[in-house]
Amino acid sequence: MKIILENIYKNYDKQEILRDVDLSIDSGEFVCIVGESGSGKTALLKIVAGLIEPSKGVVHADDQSAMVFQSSALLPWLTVKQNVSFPFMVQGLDTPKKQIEQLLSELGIKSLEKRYPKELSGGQKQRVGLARAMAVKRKILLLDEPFSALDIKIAEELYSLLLGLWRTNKLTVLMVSYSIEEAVFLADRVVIMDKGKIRREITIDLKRPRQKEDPIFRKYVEHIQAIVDN
Amino acid sequence: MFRHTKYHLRKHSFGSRVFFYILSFLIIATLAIYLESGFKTIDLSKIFLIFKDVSITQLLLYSGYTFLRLCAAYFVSLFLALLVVFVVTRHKKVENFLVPIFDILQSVPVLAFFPLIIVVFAQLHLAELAAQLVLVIAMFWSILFGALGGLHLIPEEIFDAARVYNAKGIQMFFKVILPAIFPQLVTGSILSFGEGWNVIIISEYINYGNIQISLPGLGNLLSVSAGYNIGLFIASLLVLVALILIVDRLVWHRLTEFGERFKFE
Repeated sequence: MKIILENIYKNYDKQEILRDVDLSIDSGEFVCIVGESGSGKTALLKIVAGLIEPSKGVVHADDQSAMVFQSSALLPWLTVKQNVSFPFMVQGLDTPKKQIEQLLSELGIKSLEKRYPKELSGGQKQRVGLARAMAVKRKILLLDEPFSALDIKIAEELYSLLLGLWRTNKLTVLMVSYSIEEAVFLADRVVIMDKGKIRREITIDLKRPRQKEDPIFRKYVEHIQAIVDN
Repeated sequence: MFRHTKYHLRKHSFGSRVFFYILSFLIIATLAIYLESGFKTIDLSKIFLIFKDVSITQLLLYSGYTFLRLCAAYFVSLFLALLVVFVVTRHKKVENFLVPIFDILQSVPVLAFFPLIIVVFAQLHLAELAAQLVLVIAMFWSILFGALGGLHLIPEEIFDAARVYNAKGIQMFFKVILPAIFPQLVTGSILSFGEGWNVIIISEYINYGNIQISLPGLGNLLSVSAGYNIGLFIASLLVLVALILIVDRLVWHRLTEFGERFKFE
């Protein structure tokens, strides 16, 4: 499931948020966008999701996308199971109960199915957010800084979970991250954005599972950090 | 320094509440006797005599009428407010256009609409409709502004999450927006019902120039008994207070607690 962005511009309140963005993501590729806040990362993700229209340019995507949000965006009045079933519920479709049960088990949240979001930790909420995204079986997965509010141990557990889902479901992933280390750990390619433009694209030529202590891993992190800082 | 003792933190038991209600009743009744005697004596032996002309059946029946009238006006107001919210969610520009107009209209006192309502409805002999209109004008705004306020408290990511999964129109309204604004709808409804209780007296007994509109209800009883039948006046007032307390405990208190589940963190 390919994603191609051609000549994307986005203006908001006379301000240019994105300008002349061209990006192509291959089927099954894991791409991470990094950059300082206000660089246009989230706007680009929302354009791919179809949540905002570009002022100019075209988006080609072979499938609709599922999305995981920074705040998890769970509905507080629904239980974990109902939140995972939300994509079906909100379209007035029958919920595939067996599929949902299986997904809850796969993501380790079966025991929490009757709990409400207020009763969950940050990591558990993001697991539910991931389960909701996986429930619709779309091949494009978008993630908007999903691990930014989590402590590193919980985030690392979720990295493995996400990589497992990406591999087994052959997903095309586009993720926005505040952390360069996270981007190098997860992605095949890191896209660096600055002032609404793509500044550089770096292919991460490291085998998985990646080790953060690996000198080559550190070199990638330092290299990308230097580009972001300059 | 003030310290919380067990007494302060203890919830009042049912027994103590009943005691306070009876005490309040006795104080009001004593004051009424004093008032009836022309501020001369307080003859406690007359405390129950002042209620000798009060018909319990009439009080209960009229309470029912008043409550049903308020409920009808509340549901009409709720429906209209939700209709506005639905339109606003579909067309953002409508909100920018309507809210300033509503802001001005809601500050116009309900009594200002009286002459128009009375002339039109009295001519048509539609007293019940006149009362409903007065109540709806008073009750509508709190629900509407509560709901609109709630709409602005919904995090943008919730809308995004719904849109990503193709939520639109009616489904978006009933599955996302309506539950999301539920706590503010409850608060707005409590204020709205409060407004309703305030205007029930004028809506059930309209006396304007040569026109008189009278409807069965507690508001009517209060209006006609004031200054003429102190027993009926006090009994009507007590029943009205009891009705307000019952509705508060059985409906609003429970809905407020239930609404906690719908609040965003």
